[in-house]
Parts: sequence; structure tokens; C-alpha cells
Amino acid sequence: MRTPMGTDLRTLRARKLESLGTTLLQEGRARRGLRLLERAFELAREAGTPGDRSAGAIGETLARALEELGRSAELEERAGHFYAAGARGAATVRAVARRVLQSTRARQPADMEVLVTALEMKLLEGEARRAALRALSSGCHVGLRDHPERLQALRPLLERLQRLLPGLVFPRLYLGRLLYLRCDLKEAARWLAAVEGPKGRSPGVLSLRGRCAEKLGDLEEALRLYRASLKANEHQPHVHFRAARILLLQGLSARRNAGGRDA
Amino acid sequence: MQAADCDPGPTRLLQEATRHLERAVELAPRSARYAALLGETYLVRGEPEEAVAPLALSYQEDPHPRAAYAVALSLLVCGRPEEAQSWATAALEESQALVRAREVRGWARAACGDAQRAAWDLRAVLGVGAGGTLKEAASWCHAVSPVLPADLETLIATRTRELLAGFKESLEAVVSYQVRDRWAATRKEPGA
Repeated sequence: MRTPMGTDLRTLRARKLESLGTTLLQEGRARRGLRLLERAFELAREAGTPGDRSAGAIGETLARALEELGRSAELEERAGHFYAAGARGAATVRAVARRVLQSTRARQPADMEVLVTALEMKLLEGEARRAALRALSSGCHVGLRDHPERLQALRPLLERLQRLLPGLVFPRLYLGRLLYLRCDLKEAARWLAAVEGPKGRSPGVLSLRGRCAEKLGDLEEALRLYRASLKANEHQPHVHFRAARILLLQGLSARRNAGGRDA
Repeated sequence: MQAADCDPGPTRLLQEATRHLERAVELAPRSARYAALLGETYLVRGEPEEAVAPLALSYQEDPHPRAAYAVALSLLVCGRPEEAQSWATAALEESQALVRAREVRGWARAACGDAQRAAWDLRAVLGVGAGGTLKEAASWCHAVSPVLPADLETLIATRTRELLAGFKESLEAVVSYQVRDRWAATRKEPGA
């Protein structure tokens, strides 16, 4: 049922329960207060319509209360639901991020999104921050055979990460690969060229930059990059092949221009 | 820096290409693409004997008519018409539309003294009806060849050179497509 203003009655009731629950918590009646907030969250979630942020807001109130009361196990248990309902406050994000970092299951782009949000909110420090960056480096990995759907989910995360930590190398590398796979070659070349340090001089990055240059029509640059890649690792048959193809083309056209003789 | 370093001649470029391809085949001996390009590079560099093995290897891994045709042409160029015949037949089995393979087989048969079947192939290449002699077919070939040699042996050598020149052109076109043209659309500026 809805009010004349179009609000679901359950949402109204949920807000009332939230207000009451918060008051009870402030009065030190934690058990009852939490129970009312739990009920408020469930009601708001049931009534949830697109754009309605009640459930998320109540979820965050509940998460904050659980955190203040030191009930971290319970909070980590429930935080995923609060996050899914739209809660993006510090208590929820911190708890979900902690859970993601502790989990041993294969991480999904949604898990990576939590970690990026936690980093943006500066909720992770010290070892937790380092662990999050390690998890992001492996969880956001872009391979040249990755499924387009996965790439679509990763792109905004990598862009956010790049904006947040511009000195970090792996988002540039993954963005470069991702854009290469999406045939945005100029942007791919730009990101890959910005990969600094040993990774930037790795045979894989150099040969991928070579492929971008080749497809962009800059054959001299492509050849230079393929040669550099082979210097770093000579055991790359496909790079030998690509370099040879350019040399062959240049050799044949030079011979044709010289009228069939060597120049 | 030496002038030669600034502007490497075609021979040096083709030598370096060959070195890369030899290494690619060494590292990935089952790749038909790498072996085919290595063989074709030998052939356009004027080393038909060297071309045969990698081209045959490529055909073994991926029976593509172009590889069989290139083997046949290499064998004809280096004076092994009997083997050239069977490779040209293999190319034609893969693709009847490969006119040049039929011509190579025709000249290979002619070189082996099989005048009747040579005439049959050459007449088919020229698009004239069945029947007639090798001499007639050869004289039609005279008509399409810019050089008018006196005897059949010279005619075979001339046409082989022309086929080789055609092969070089087609290789350049194929590689140019792979390296340049295939990506041309990607290079266009938005709205261009």
C-alpha cells in the first residue's frame, strides 16, 4: 500500500522503527534498539523501489550501531546485505572490505568494487591497505583472452583506482590491455607507455605496445618495440613473426622501388 | 652511423626477416603460419631449395592450397618438375580455382615430357577448349607472355620467372593486408 504521496507504507514504518531504534540505542537499550533497526532494515528492503535509499541508510545505521557495540562478527556477517541494499558508510564498507580480504574464494569484480570504495574512503591502512592492493592487483587482472563482460565490469574500477592512486602501475597496465582488447588503440598505447619501472620494460608490455603501434600504422615504432621485447626475452615466436612480417613488407617494397635490385 | 645503417637495403631487411622467421619456426615448429611465411620468404629471396622444407611442413600442419602451390613453384624454379607436379596436384585438390597451380603443373608436365597432359592444363589455364597439342598451348602462352622465346625450355623458364614475380607481388599484398590494411578502419579518426 502507498500513501497519497506515493511512498510505500512499509518504508514509512521502517523509518519510524529506525528512529525509535536509534533513540533506544542512545538510551543504552542496545538489544531492543538493534532488534527494531533489524526490523526496519528488513521492511525497507522489502519495500525497496529503484532509487529508494532507505534500506541502505538504515543498513548503515545498523552497521554503525553494531560497530560501536563491538559486535564485529555480527557486523561482518550482515555487512554484505547492507552493502547490497546501498549502504556506503564507513562502518559497512570497512566490514565488507575486511570480509573480502579474509575470504579465500575466487574474487569477483563486485568484491573489487568494495575494496576500491574502501580505499577511496581511506578506510584501510597499513597491512590491510597493502592486502587490498595485492587483492586488487590479482582480482582486476586483465588477460588478453578475458571475456568482454568481465572487462566491462573491470574498466570503471580500474579508472577509479587510477584516479585515486595515479602512481600505481598495475591499473595503467590493465587499462592498456583492456583498451587494446576493445580496439581503442591510441588510448591503449598511451596507458601502456605510461607503465613505468621493470613492468614497463617487460617483454609482454613491449610487444603489446608494438602491436598497438603496428595497428596504428607506425611500423618503425612497432619494429623498435618488437626488437626491444625480443631483447628482453628472445623466446617469443609470435613477436619474431610480427617483426619479420614488417621487415618483409619493408624489404619487398624497397626492392620494388629499387626496380627489383638491392638499394 | 653508417649510411647503410640509416637506410637498410632490401637484402638486409629480407635477411633480418628470415632470421626472425627461422627463430619463430624453431620456437614453434608446429605453427603452419610461421613455416609458410619462412618458406615464402626464402622463395622471394631467390632460395627455392631452402623454401621447400618449411612450406611442406606448413602444408602438413595446415593443408592450405597456397602452401602446396608455393612448394610446387619452388620445385619448378629449382628444376624438380616431377615433384612439382604432385605438389601442384595437391594444391588443385584443395582448390580447383587456383589457376596458377594448374599452370605450374602444366609447365612441370611439359618439362617432364608429358606433352598431352601439359597441353590439357595449359589450355585450361588459358580458358580455351579441350584438345589441341602442347605446341598450340605453348604458342597461346607465347601470346600472353611479354617475351617470345624460341623454344619450349626457354618458354618454361620465362613463365616460371613470371610466376615467381607474381608470387612476390601476391606475398607483398598479403603481408601488406595483414600489417596495414586490416587495421586501417581502426586508425580512422572519429568523424573522418
